[in-house]
Amino acid sequence: MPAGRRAIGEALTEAFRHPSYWLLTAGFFVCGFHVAFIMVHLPAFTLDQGLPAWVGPLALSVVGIANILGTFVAGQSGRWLAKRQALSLIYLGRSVLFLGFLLLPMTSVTVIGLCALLGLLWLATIPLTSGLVATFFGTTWMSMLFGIVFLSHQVGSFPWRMAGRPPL
Amino acid sequence: MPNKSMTTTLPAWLSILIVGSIVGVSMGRAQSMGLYLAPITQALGIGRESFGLAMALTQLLMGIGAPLSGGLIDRFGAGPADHGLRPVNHRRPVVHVCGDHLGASTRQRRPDGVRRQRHRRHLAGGHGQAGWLPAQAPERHRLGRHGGRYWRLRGPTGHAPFDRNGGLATEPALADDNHGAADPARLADQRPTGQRRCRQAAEL
Repeated sequence: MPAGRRAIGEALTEAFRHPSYWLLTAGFFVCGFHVAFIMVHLPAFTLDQGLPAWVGPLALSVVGIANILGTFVAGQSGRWLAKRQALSLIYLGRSVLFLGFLLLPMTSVTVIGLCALLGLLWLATIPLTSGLVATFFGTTWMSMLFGIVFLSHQVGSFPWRMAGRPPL
Repeated sequence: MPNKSMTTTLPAWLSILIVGSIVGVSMGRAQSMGLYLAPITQALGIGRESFGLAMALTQLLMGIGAPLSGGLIDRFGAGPADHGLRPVNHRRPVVHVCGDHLGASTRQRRPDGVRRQRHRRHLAGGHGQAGWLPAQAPERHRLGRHGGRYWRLRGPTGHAPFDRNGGLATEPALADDNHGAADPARLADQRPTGQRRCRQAAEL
């Protein structure tokens, strides 16, 4: 072990005592909750809403295409905006878009439009979250510490994926 | 602790492109599983709950594995982790299987100057993939400790999936002396593998 390298226990202790790390983990929990709905239940949801069968696959494609741009912009936004602020804006935007799923009439246009906007915010949380982990604790144990945050993401997605139908 | 015996020879932009492609393929599959919800549930006659539970468990296991693999990568470096974590040798095949699902091949330069390109398509292409390889991993480890004699495990088509270092054998010289064809004489000469032992135990 090179001189100056922290032990794994020290890294974990430092992380778990860091309030912002817990906030980051909690935020990623909600991110998993969001992602699970779109990934697993959106195509079936559109069918349940009486929309044509092509809407679901197209919506996922739109999410993916928009995600390329959104993730890139989010990663670059760390240069001119504080990462925590950008992350907060992303989660706020997602909340508004999910309200749109709840409140707007579900038509092909609204589903595709909402998915396009959602795609911009889709995995945009990842570069900012991993960047924050690196900012907080350095890169020595970054993969492990980000892995713990990612575990929270997956735990957050678990109940929503398991649900038979989305509660919308 | 990065592995100093391996140096990346690819330019940064190409590395990013390759890694991005690998993540794109793997994430693309994961992110589009919802497309299969309706056809699979209808074809199998199961509820959405069952499909959702399967997806949920998959994601949960992925999440559990993330900090573990992340810690190993932080400790030993991404190169050794991809090549099977030498310090935890018996886990190498399992890690390889996970890696094989993510990428088709890697190319790295060794200190001896030999370029080794590990194509793993044959594994993903028809060896039962993740089903039997992890199950074989402890057996290979146990056999490896007996006198250090290398014991080749063979898949259904006779390929030897692991090379002498415990990695997945892909080069012809390491894959099989008989170009992948099973040699009955050699098979008869070998001690029973885990699969055969299980079969023998079931027959008793």
